[in-house]
Amino acid sequence: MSELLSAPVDGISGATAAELLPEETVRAIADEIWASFIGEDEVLVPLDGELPAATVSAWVGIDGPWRGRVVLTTSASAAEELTRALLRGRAPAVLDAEDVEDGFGELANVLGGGLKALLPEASSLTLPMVGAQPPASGPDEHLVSSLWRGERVDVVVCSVPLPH
Amino acid sequence: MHALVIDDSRAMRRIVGGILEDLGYEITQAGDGQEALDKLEAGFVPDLACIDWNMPVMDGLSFVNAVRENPEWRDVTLMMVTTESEHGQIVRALAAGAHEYLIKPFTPDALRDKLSLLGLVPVEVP
Repeated sequence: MSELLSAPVDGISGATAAELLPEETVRAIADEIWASFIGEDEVLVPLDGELPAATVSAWVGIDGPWRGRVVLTTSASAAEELTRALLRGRAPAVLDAEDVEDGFGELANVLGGGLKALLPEASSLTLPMVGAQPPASGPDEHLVSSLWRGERVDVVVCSVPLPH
Repeated sequence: MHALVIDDSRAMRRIVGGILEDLGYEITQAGDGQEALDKLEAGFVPDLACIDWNMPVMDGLSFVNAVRENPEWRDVTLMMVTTESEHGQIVRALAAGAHEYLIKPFTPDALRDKLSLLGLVPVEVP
Protein backbone atom coordinates (compact mmCIF):
# COMPACT_ATOMS: atom_id res chain seq x y z
CA MET A 1 0.00 0.00 0.00
CA SER A 2 2.77 2.44 0.88
CA GLU A 3 3.98 2.66 -2.72
CA LEU A 4 0.52 3.88 -3.72
CA LEU A 5 0.69 6.92 -1.53
CA SER A 6 2.78 10.01 -1.88
CA ALA A 7 5.22 11.34 0.67
CA PRO A 8 3.78 11.11 4.19
CA VAL A 9 1.93 14.21 5.33
CA ASP A 10 0.22 14.55 8.68
CA GLY A 11 -3.45 13.74 8.35
CA ILE A 12 -3.11 12.02 5.00
CA SER A 13 -0.20 9.64 5.42
CA GLY A 14 -1.30 6.06 5.09
CA ALA A 15 -4.92 6.94 4.43
CA THR A 16 -6.77 5.02 1.78
CA ALA A 17 -9.07 6.59 -0.78
CA ALA A 18 -12.07 5.28 1.16
CA GLU A 19 -10.78 6.79 4.40
CA LEU A 20 -10.18 10.19 2.82
CA LEU A 21 -13.34 10.23 0.74
CA PRO A 22 -15.83 7.76 2.22
CA GLU A 23 -18.87 6.50 0.36
CA GLU A 24 -21.31 8.92 1.99
CA THR A 25 -19.07 11.85 0.99
CA VAL A 26 -18.84 10.68 -2.62
CA ARG A 27 -22.61 10.19 -2.74
CA ALA A 28 -23.29 13.61 -1.21
CA ILE A 29 -21.09 15.40 -3.76
CA ALA A 30 -22.49 13.38 -6.68
CA ASP A 31 -26.06 14.05 -5.52
CA GLU A 32 -25.38 17.79 -5.37
CA ILE A 33 -23.93 17.76 -8.89
CA TRP A 34 -26.86 15.79 -10.27
CA ALA A 35 -29.39 18.13 -8.66
CA SER A 36 -27.62 21.29 -9.86
CA PHE A 37 -26.41 20.24 -13.29
CA ILE A 38 -28.55 17.34 -14.46
CA GLY A 39 -31.90 18.42 -13.04
CA GLU A 40 -33.66 19.11 -9.77
CA ASP A 41 -35.60 15.86 -9.99
CA GLU A 42 -32.69 13.73 -11.17
CA VAL A 43 -31.46 11.32 -8.53
CA LEU A 44 -28.71 8.79 -8.20
CA VAL A 45 -30.21 5.71 -6.56
CA PRO A 46 -27.71 3.88 -4.34
CA LEU A 47 -28.24 0.48 -5.93
CA ASP A 48 -26.08 -1.81 -8.03
CA GLY A 49 -26.99 -2.58 -11.61
CA GLU A 50 -25.36 -4.19 -14.61
CA LEU A 51 -22.67 -2.30 -16.46
CA PRO A 52 -22.79 -3.08 -20.18
CA ALA A 53 -19.73 -4.46 -21.93
CA ALA A 54 -19.14 -1.13 -23.65
CA THR A 55 -18.68 1.72 -21.23
CA VAL A 56 -17.20 5.18 -21.26
CA SER A 57 -15.15 6.66 -18.44
CA ALA A 58 -14.11 10.20 -17.58
CA TRP A 59 -11.49 10.88 -14.97
CA VAL A 60 -9.48 13.59 -13.26
CA GLY A 61 -6.38 13.33 -11.14
CA ILE A 62 -5.89 14.95 -7.75
CA ASP A 63 -2.34 16.10 -7.16
CA GLY A 64 -1.12 17.15 -3.74
CA PRO A 65 0.03 15.53 -0.52
CA TRP A 66 -2.29 12.70 -1.56
CA ARG A 67 -2.30 11.72 -5.21
CA GLY A 68 -5.46 10.13 -6.46
CA ARG A 69 -7.91 9.76 -9.25
CA VAL A 70 -11.67 10.10 -9.55
CA VAL A 71 -13.25 8.06 -12.35
CA LEU A 72 -16.84 8.28 -13.55
CA THR A 73 -18.05 5.31 -15.62
CA THR A 74 -21.33 4.48 -17.29
CA SER A 75 -22.73 3.14 -20.55
CA ALA A 76 -22.20 5.12 -23.73
CA SER A 77 -25.93 5.78 -23.96
CA ALA A 78 -26.10 7.07 -20.37
CA ALA A 79 -23.09 9.31 -20.99
CA GLU A 80 -24.93 10.78 -23.96
CA GLU A 81 -28.11 11.28 -21.93
CA LEU A 82 -26.13 12.88 -19.11
CA THR A 83 -24.57 15.29 -21.59
CA ARG A 84 -27.98 16.12 -23.02
CA ALA A 85 -29.33 16.74 -19.50
CA LEU A 86 -26.28 18.82 -18.60
CA LEU A 87 -26.88 21.07 -21.59
CA ARG A 88 -30.57 21.34 -20.66
CA GLY A 89 -32.42 22.86 -23.59
CA ARG A 90 -29.20 23.90 -25.31
CA ALA A 91 -28.11 20.53 -26.62
CA PRO A 92 -27.94 20.19 -30.41
CA ALA A 93 -30.43 17.78 -31.97
CA VAL A 94 -27.62 15.31 -32.56
CA LEU A 95 -24.81 15.11 -30.04
CA ASP A 96 -21.56 14.08 -31.66
CA ALA A 97 -18.84 12.09 -29.92
CA GLU A 98 -16.92 15.26 -29.12
CA ASP A 99 -19.97 16.77 -27.40
CA VAL A 100 -20.39 13.69 -25.21
CA GLU A 101 -16.69 13.50 -24.42
CA ASP A 102 -16.71 17.14 -23.42
CA GLY A 103 -19.91 17.03 -21.37
CA PHE A 104 -19.15 13.76 -19.60
CA GLY A 105 -15.60 14.95 -18.94
CA GLU A 106 -16.94 18.13 -17.37
CA LEU A 107 -19.12 16.09 -15.02
CA ALA A 108 -16.02 14.18 -13.88
CA ASN A 109 -14.20 17.49 -13.52
CA VAL A 110 -16.88 18.95 -11.26
CA LEU A 111 -17.09 15.71 -9.25
CA GLY A 112 -13.32 15.64 -8.81
CA GLY A 113 -13.28 19.29 -7.84
CA GLY A 114 -15.97 18.76 -5.23
CA LEU A 115 -14.10 15.83 -3.70
CA LYS A 116 -10.73 17.57 -3.84
CA ALA A 117 -12.14 20.44 -1.81
CA LEU A 118 -12.86 18.02 1.04
CA LEU A 119 -9.29 16.78 1.39
CA PRO A 120 -7.44 18.03 4.45
CA GLU A 121 -4.58 19.50 2.40
CA ALA A 122 -4.65 21.84 -0.60
CA SER A 123 -4.36 20.00 -3.90
CA SER A 124 -4.71 20.65 -7.60
CA LEU A 125 -6.87 18.99 -10.21
CA THR A 126 -5.73 17.72 -13.58
CA LEU A 127 -7.73 18.40 -16.72
CA PRO A 128 -10.38 15.73 -17.41
CA MET A 129 -9.70 12.79 -19.69
CA VAL A 130 -12.30 10.58 -21.37
CA GLY A 131 -11.96 7.11 -22.83
CA ALA A 132 -13.30 3.60 -23.02
CA GLN A 133 -10.75 2.40 -20.52
CA PRO A 134 -9.53 4.47 -17.56
CA PRO A 135 -6.03 3.97 -16.20
CA ALA A 136 -5.62 0.96 -13.92
CA SER A 137 -6.68 1.53 -10.34
CA GLY A 138 -4.60 0.64 -7.31
CA PRO A 139 -5.55 -1.87 -4.62
CA ASP A 140 -7.31 0.80 -2.56
CA GLU A 141 -9.86 1.33 -5.34
CA HIS A 142 -13.07 2.54 -3.76
CA LEU A 143 -16.19 1.92 -5.84
CA VAL A 144 -19.48 3.75 -5.32
CA SER A 145 -22.22 2.45 -7.63
CA SER A 146 -25.57 4.05 -8.34
CA LEU A 147 -28.41 3.88 -10.81
CA TRP A 148 -29.50 6.87 -12.85
CA ARG A 149 -32.59 6.41 -15.01
CA GLY A 150 -31.98 2.68 -14.58
CA GLU A 151 -28.42 2.83 -15.88
CA ARG A 152 -25.48 2.05 -13.66
CA VAL A 153 -23.14 4.95 -12.89
CA ASP A 154 -19.90 4.15 -11.08
CA VAL A 155 -17.59 6.50 -9.24
CA VAL A 156 -14.19 5.08 -8.42
CA VAL A 157 -11.76 6.89 -6.16
CA CYS A 158 -8.26 5.50 -5.80
CA SER A 159 -4.72 6.44 -4.91
CA VAL A 160 -2.20 6.85 -7.69
CA PRO A 161 1.41 5.73 -7.30
CA LEU A 162 4.15 8.32 -7.49
CA PRO A 163 5.97 8.33 -10.84
CA HIS A 164 9.38 6.66 -10.66
CA MET B 1 -24.23 44.09 -22.68
CA HIS B 2 -21.49 41.76 -23.81
CA ALA B 3 -20.08 38.77 -21.94
CA LEU B 4 -16.97 36.74 -22.61
CA VAL B 5 -17.33 33.12 -21.47
CA ILE B 6 -13.97 31.44 -20.96
CA ASP B 7 -13.95 27.70 -20.34
CA ASP B 8 -12.15 24.78 -21.97
CA SER B 9 -15.39 22.80 -21.81
CA ARG B 10 -17.68 23.48 -24.75
CA ALA B 11 -20.59 22.24 -22.64
CA MET B 12 -19.87 24.76 -19.91
CA ARG B 13 -19.55 27.55 -22.45
CA ARG B 14 -22.97 26.59 -23.80
CA ILE B 15 -24.51 26.44 -20.31
CA VAL B 16 -23.08 29.70 -19.00
CA GLY B 17 -23.52 31.43 -22.35
CA GLY B 18 -27.12 30.24 -22.59
CA ILE B 19 -28.04 31.56 -19.16
CA LEU B 20 -26.45 34.90 -20.01
CA GLU B 21 -28.20 35.03 -23.39
CA ASP B 22 -31.51 34.55 -21.59
CA LEU B 23 -30.61 37.63 -19.57
CA GLY B 24 -30.01 39.62 -22.72
CA TYR B 25 -26.26 39.35 -23.08
CA GLU B 26 -24.42 38.98 -26.33
CA ILE B 27 -21.92 36.15 -25.91
CA THR B 28 -18.38 35.63 -27.10
CA GLN B 29 -16.56 32.43 -26.19
CA ALA B 30 -12.95 31.49 -25.58
CA GLY B 31 -11.50 28.05 -24.83
CA ASP B 32 -8.69 29.25 -22.57
CA GLY B 33 -7.23 32.35 -20.98
CA GLN B 34 -4.83 33.09 -23.82
CA GLU B 35 -7.58 32.96 -26.44
CA ALA B 36 -9.61 35.34 -24.28
CA LEU B 37 -6.64 37.65 -23.79
CA ASP B 38 -6.09 37.71 -27.55
CA LYS B 39 -9.66 38.94 -28.00
CA LEU B 40 -9.13 41.75 -25.50
CA GLU B 41 -5.86 42.73 -27.12
CA ALA B 42 -7.66 42.84 -30.46
CA GLY B 43 -9.97 45.50 -29.04
CA PHE B 44 -12.92 43.50 -27.75
CA VAL B 45 -13.74 44.70 -24.22
CA PRO B 46 -16.72 42.91 -22.67
CA ASP B 47 -18.79 44.13 -19.75
CA LEU B 48 -18.42 40.77 -18.05
CA ALA B 49 -16.00 37.85 -18.25
CA CYS B 50 -16.97 34.47 -16.75
CA ILE B 51 -13.75 32.56 -16.21
CA ASP B 52 -13.00 28.91 -15.49
CA TRP B 53 -9.89 28.33 -13.39
CA ASN B 54 -8.35 25.09 -14.73
CA MET B 55 -7.74 25.41 -18.44
CA PRO B 56 -4.93 24.47 -20.79
CA VAL B 57 -2.56 27.10 -22.24
CA MET B 58 -3.50 29.87 -19.78
CA ASP B 59 -5.51 29.28 -16.62
CA GLY B 60 -8.18 31.59 -15.27
CA LEU B 61 -6.10 33.11 -12.49
CA SER B 62 -3.36 34.08 -14.96
CA PHE B 63 -6.04 35.65 -17.16
CA VAL B 64 -7.36 37.69 -14.22
CA ASN B 65 -3.83 38.86 -13.41
CA ALA B 66 -3.25 39.84 -17.05
CA VAL B 67 -6.50 41.79 -17.26
CA ARG B 68 -5.83 43.66 -14.05
CA GLU B 69 -2.38 44.70 -15.28
CA ASN B 70 -3.94 46.69 -18.11
CA PRO B 71 -5.81 49.85 -17.01
CA GLU B 72 -7.73 49.92 -20.30
CA TRP B 73 -9.60 46.81 -19.12
CA ARG B 74 -10.39 48.01 -15.60
CA ASP B 75 -14.12 48.21 -16.35
CA VAL B 76 -14.40 44.54 -17.21
CA THR B 77 -16.20 42.71 -14.42
CA LEU B 78 -14.47 39.41 -13.74
CA MET B 79 -16.32 36.42 -12.30
CA MET B 80 -14.64 33.10 -11.68
CA VAL B 81 -16.87 30.09 -12.51
CA THR B 82 -14.95 27.07 -11.35
CA THR B 83 -14.76 23.81 -9.42
CA GLU B 84 -12.02 25.32 -7.24
CA SER B 85 -13.94 25.74 -4.01
CA GLU B 86 -11.25 25.88 -1.33
CA HIS B 87 -11.22 29.07 0.69
CA GLY B 88 -7.59 29.75 -0.20
CA GLN B 89 -8.33 29.62 -3.92
CA ILE B 90 -11.28 31.98 -3.57
CA VAL B 91 -9.11 34.43 -1.66
CA ARG B 92 -6.38 34.19 -4.33
CA ALA B 93 -8.82 34.96 -7.13
CA LEU B 94 -10.46 37.87 -5.33
CA ALA B 95 -7.07 39.25 -4.33
CA ALA B 96 -5.97 39.07 -7.98
CA GLY B 97 -8.92 41.21 -9.00
CA ALA B 98 -11.90 38.94 -9.60
CA HIS B 99 -15.15 40.58 -8.49
CA GLU B 100 -17.19 37.45 -7.85
CA TYR B 101 -16.78 33.73 -7.49
CA LEU B 102 -19.26 31.03 -8.51
CA ILE B 103 -18.54 27.43 -7.67
CA LYS B 104 -19.51 24.57 -10.00
CA PRO B 105 -21.97 22.93 -9.82
CA PHE B 106 -24.33 25.87 -9.87
CA THR B 107 -27.93 26.45 -10.84
CA PRO B 108 -29.06 29.14 -13.31
CA ASP B 109 -30.54 30.99 -10.34
CA ALA B 110 -27.19 31.03 -8.59
CA LEU B 111 -25.54 32.65 -11.61
CA ARG B 112 -28.35 35.17 -11.91
CA ASP B 113 -28.03 35.98 -8.19
CA LYS B 114 -24.31 36.67 -8.57
CA LEU B 115 -24.96 38.96 -11.53
CA SER B 116 -27.67 40.71 -9.60
CA LEU B 117 -25.23 41.39 -6.76
CA LEU B 118 -22.91 42.93 -9.33
CA GLY B 119 -25.71 45.00 -10.84
CA LEU B 120 -25.24 43.17 -14.12
CA VAL B 121 -28.70 41.78 -14.85
CA PRO B 122 -29.72 43.77 -17.92
CA VAL B 123 -33.30 42.52 -18.20
CA GLU B 124 -35.95 41.52 -15.70
CA VAL B 125 -36.53 37.79 -15.83
CA PRO B 126 -39.86 36.44 -14.53
